[in-house]
Amino acid sequence: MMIEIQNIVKSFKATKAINDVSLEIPEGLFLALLGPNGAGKTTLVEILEGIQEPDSGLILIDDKTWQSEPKALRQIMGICLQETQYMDKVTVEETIRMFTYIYHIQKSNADKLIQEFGITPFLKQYITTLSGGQRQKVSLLLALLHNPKILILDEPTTGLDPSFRREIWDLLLTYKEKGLTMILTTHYMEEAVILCDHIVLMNQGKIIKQGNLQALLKTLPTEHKIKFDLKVKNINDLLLGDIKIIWDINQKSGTILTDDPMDCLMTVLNSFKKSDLEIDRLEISHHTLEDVFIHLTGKGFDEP
Amino acid sequence: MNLNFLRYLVLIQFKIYFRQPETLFWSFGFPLILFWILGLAFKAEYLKFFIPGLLALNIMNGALWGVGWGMVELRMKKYIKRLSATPMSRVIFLSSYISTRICISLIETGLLLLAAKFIFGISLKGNPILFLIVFLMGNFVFAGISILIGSRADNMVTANGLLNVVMLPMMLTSGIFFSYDKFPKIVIPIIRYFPLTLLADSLRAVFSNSIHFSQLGLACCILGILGLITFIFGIRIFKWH
Repeated sequence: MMIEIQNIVKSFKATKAINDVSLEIPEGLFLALLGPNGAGKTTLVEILEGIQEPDSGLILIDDKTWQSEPKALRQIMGICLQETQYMDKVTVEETIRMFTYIYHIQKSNADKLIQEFGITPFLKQYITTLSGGQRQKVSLLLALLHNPKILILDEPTTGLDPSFRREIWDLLLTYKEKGLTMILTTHYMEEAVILCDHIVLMNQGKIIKQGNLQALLKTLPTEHKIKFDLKVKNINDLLLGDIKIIWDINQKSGTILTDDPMDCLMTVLNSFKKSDLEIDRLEISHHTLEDVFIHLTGKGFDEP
Repeated sequence: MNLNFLRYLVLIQFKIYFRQPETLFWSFGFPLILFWILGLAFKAEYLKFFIPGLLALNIMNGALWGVGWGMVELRMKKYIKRLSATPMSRVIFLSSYISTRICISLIETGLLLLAAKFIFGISLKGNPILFLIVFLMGNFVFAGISILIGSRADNMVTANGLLNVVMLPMMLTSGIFFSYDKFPKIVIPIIRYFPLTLLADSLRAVFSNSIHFSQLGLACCILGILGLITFIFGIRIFKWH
């Protein structure tokens, strides 16, 4: 195993940010830690990065611990923090050069990455004047400069526009092909699905489920869902047989979980017609990771 | 020890410094203007008293604001946190701030000494090497104090408050603008051992008289030891995250 996390607990005053988390990450895996804000993703990766110490539990990275070999671990890990700002009045080139001195790297190695990342046009610009996307590309370059064995990315695309997000994804997919072990925290489900081999769902400091996308979707009782919005609030007792509607609080929108969407749809539409209920919007779709999350926690990603 | 990193970090900080016109004005221009105005208003005798005091004040201000403030700013930007996840030597990182400060202070002091000589005809009478030793000790002690202040502060408000708590009493009592002999006798022995008083008195002694090192040995030792203690303690309690 490249990384073994055993029974990690971390509290901030009365709040348990990480509550008995264990995880094994083999070499070459691209793993996503997915969960809403406050799920404990950043705390967990900061413990992995050696930035925070756990209250209890053990972390083995490449058979080393932070207590015994901190320097060696800093040398094999690349990190990209959430929203790092840089020194004022320092150019991109100077910042990269500074990191080459920290890691004792030849300038030519950095030049290769600069080409690969397409950073050359803004090399002479002050790093603080770059756009969020450009700055994030520089952060990613700095994380990869010393050719790390493990790359940890804490919400690397949060707040970026779609084109930059795509660029960052493409770069990450290149490194995935090269077999780099990567851990990504995100609250974008799409990002986890596109990039990662293994997804770990977190909520309130705990791992609530993990596996690849297919395995996670199989935890749901059905394959499809039908979502609809009515024009007016439903006050009728609808006769739907075995079909169960999960109504929202206003009784205007509902969700039906089903394995047979066509049959189910016919029954529902007939029932609505008999009750004079007009539909404003209707959607049949496969389940998403958010449905898995809702199924497991009873709440959506954005709900407190 | 990664000396290339230290050298580059000092170079970067130098560049940052000289890329900010406002900083240049307040570091070089303002002391010269103040010096010139006071030179016109007062007699040469007062200037001989005031110039070493102004140099000491400049050393303190530059070190406290330049080092401590910079640390807090980088902490707020999470840049220190980012650097702490690299194999960077923490001692080298903090030493680079002290080294940069000493280099910049050397230029500031050199300019003031030149202005004193060519505008008012007042020049250093004592041993230049001794003057340099006192100057280095002064920079070291205030850089150490500054690292200690900047080691925990999370934001500018806290840093500002802490810097003022340290600076204001010394600015008022350490005999920069007028002699501290006017203060009540009971507090004078305390005032004499304030770092700014030790620095200003030592600079004044070597500036105006041909004084021997042994006469300033105690002051230099106190400044050096205090600098070392604050630097080491600052590193130990430094908040990297």
